[in-house]
Amino acid sequence: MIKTLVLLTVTATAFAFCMQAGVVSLLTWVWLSLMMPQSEAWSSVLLNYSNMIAGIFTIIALFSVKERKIPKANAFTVLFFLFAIIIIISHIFSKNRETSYHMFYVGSVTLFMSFAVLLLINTKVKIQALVWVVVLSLGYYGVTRGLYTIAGGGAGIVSGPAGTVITDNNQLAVALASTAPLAYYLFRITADKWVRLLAAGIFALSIVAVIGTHSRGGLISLGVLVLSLIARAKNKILYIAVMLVVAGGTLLIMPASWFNRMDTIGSAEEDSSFMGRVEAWAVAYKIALENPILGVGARVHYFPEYNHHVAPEITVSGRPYIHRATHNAYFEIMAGNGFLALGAFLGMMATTFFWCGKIMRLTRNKPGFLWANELASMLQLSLLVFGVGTMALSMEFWAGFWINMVLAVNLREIVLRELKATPDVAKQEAYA
Amino acid sequence: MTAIIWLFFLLAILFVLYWYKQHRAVTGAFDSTTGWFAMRDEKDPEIK
Repeated sequence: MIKTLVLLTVTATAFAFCMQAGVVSLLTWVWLSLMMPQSEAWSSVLLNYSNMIAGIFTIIALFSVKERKIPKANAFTVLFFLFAIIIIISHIFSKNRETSYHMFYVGSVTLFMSFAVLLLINTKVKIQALVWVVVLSLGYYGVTRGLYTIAGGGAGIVSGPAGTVITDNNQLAVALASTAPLAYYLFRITADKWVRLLAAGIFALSIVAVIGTHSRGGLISLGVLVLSLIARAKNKILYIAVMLVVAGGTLLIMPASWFNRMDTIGSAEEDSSFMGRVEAWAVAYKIALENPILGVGARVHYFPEYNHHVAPEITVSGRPYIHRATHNAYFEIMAGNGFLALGAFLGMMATTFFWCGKIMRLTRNKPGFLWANELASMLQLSLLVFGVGTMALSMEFWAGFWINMVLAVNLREIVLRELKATPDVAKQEAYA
Repeated sequence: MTAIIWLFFLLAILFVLYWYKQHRAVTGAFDSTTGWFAMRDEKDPEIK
């Protein structure tokens, strides 16, 4: 009850700020969507609708701000709108609209939030505020789950907040592994030593929490994160030492069951859980070939009445193929929404990934652009970790990933704008 | 313990919102050289 009252007070204060600065509405919406603080408080009608209220405030902000109402046309925005249109048409022509409605709703909200970020988060201070909100929202789960893992010797499997995209331990692992680079960015760029310590704590405990999820996909994502960080570091020996202390120290306390589970990564073809996923990918591919333009509708291909004709011979653990999740973001889009949607999705990922590389090249060793260089590097790493992690998970509409992609797009715009203009004048405009 | 961390993170997020609102609404410009969220490259513009 006390938690509920505290959350009501904090949410009401945030909404009061929304009245004074429109972008705060979007920041509040991102916070409530990613952290879902309601999940740890006693249910209240007001809190249940807080996400929706923040979303409505964001819509009002979109109409009231002076900035342009349509994003600048570029490769990303074209693919973004193409993807959004396909998602809508695919749902209209879904073979079972009742089944596909939930993912359509989640996807629509995420795409609209991304659109709001694309339009509103267009200056350095706004990007900085959004990165802090994202890192603190996910950081709470990194810190608490990391401490739980240490305190319990890794015996308990940690999971995310109930009723969200990251409830499952595997999904929490990928979410934390792909947010850790942003915490690292804040650690690198912040001047105050206590705030740097907070960012470093979130980063380190998120790594511990990923190990604590007992997720094999999470461990692979973590491997990508750690190796990429070391590869990008100027002082590689120092980074190897730090990673050995954080990750190696955690592995020392993990129980034998954890190592037994991780050992199965090397013999995936003998693992029934993994082979079940491979079968599910094969089924999703066959269904996509039959419905290449719009797919069958999100998650519809899970059900036997829609997949049995392409998989009568498939058995999983000796049983006939029945209702199964696809556990792969790319195959989910392929079967649910068609090849065109998958192409747009991959196109957006590739575009933002390469733009991050371009920002890094443009800002290398340029005074005043350290923040952009560091952020581009960590956004690229975050996209890479998520791209690898979702090969075994259905997280295509996780808002954290979409926000990172759009941040890369907006960062590019800011950097190009600042590089074109004379430095002093450009900075004044960018900060306003 | 979890409740204290939960409260800490809620207040930290609220502070970020307040920080943005203050700089946006009161000063109209971002002074990133002061405050808890000050950035290294603003404190020292020559840093690369």
